[in-house]
Amino acid sequence: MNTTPLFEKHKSLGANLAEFGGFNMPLWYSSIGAEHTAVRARAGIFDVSHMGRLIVSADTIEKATEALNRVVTNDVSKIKPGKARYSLIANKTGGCVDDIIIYRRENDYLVVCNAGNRPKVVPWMHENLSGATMTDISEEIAMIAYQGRQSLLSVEKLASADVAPLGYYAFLTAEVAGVPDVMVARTGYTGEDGFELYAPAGKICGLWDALLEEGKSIDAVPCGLGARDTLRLEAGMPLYGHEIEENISPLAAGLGFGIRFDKGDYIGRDWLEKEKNEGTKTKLVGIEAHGKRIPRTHGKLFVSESDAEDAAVGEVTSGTASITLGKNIAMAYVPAELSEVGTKLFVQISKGRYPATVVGLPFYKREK
Amino acid sequence: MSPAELKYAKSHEWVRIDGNVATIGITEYAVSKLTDLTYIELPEEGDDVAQGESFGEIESVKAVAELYSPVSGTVSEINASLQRSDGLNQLSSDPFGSGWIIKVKLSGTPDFSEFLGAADYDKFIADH
Repeated sequence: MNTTPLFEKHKSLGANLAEFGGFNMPLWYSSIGAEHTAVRARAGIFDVSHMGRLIVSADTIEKATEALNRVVTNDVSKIKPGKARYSLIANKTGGCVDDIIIYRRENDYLVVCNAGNRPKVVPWMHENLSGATMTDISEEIAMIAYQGRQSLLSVEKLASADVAPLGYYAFLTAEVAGVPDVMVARTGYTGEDGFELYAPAGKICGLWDALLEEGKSIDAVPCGLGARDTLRLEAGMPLYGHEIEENISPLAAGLGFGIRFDKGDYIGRDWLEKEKNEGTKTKLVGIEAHGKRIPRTHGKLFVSESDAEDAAVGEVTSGTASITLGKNIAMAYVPAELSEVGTKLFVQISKGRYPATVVGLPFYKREK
Repeated sequence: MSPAELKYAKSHEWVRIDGNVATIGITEYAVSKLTDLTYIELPEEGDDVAQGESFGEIESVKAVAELYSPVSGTVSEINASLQRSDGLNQLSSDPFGSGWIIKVKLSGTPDFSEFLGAADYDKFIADH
């Protein structure tokens, strides 16, 4: 199993470890609930070095733009230097190879992909990027997410540049806690304000310690992937392997904002355009389960409490206890005609079937 | 250190025998691994349970786990206080005491050959 350059830090902090995306990662340090609440109220520090980091470059930035634009669904040419966008890498058959963030740097692109998908995204890029080169820098560069309502307070103090004016999905390069050339991005996966910091693997432990130390003044805590999952789920953000898959349409997942048709040809464009025009048969919805039990991945949805097992109309992709809202929530695919907010359904949880209601996504939206 | 007077299943239940009644709970290690407990499904008094078979479920933010009975017999008492609001906190604060889960009237002499003593159980979890 792989480990990140911060692995020894996690062990000394007493993290509960688990495998994720091929990496031995912290699941939680104190508890998922405490870490989740810390991010919503104050701040949390996450090791996200397991994610894949790939540089796409060419002789000229225009060539890199053109090559990348043929592999991703969003319009790369619209991303200004210092800005980032969410995109999908569609496959040829109706699903996604991965979902990614593309950062437009001055002379190239940084593509951040899912840890578990890196082994297939790398060859996919090599095979399909024409006129540009992809370099996997996942091992040279590590990554910390510093997320939370008060996260700006700490990053502001440690960064040499003024980070306060940075907009959502914008980034800059600064010295942070004495580490030069840290890429500081206002991106994240928690539904809260926050930053993602990219630094050389050899310097990441120093950055981690500095953030933990500075974070003490606002009671920031180290957070594991458990809280990362409950936070993203409350924020209605999809997770590859759950809401996004090789055989799931990203349009059904509600990810149309990352798919453009006012650009040139790209892998998947044909089937995406057809589906866009015809509409998808299923849709990703929010589900609130009534009662004490939590819907879990693959839990079946029914129209009535007494339906036969094979009459399931939908399936849960992710579920959790919403720590912020005090409700049991899930995301699920249901037929388009059952996707309206307020639709009453039943969800199978363990041996029982419980009433549930279709609700809007996201479950939680921060006040700006 | 797990209490010396209890026997431990590798599925992390503990059992204490007093005469013909077994008191059953889950270990501190199990509670810490589950973290963020949200729900417990208990049997009813009078239900039959069998050694090695599920008698309930415990649920956390992250996962659901089956509870396996270390003995065979009839449920004589359940710890209903666990189902009250915040009742599951007893599992975290006192897993070997007030966090007990059920009591079972034994139907025979239980076979504990697969069970561990406290020292062996502590070694077992340390190796995990």
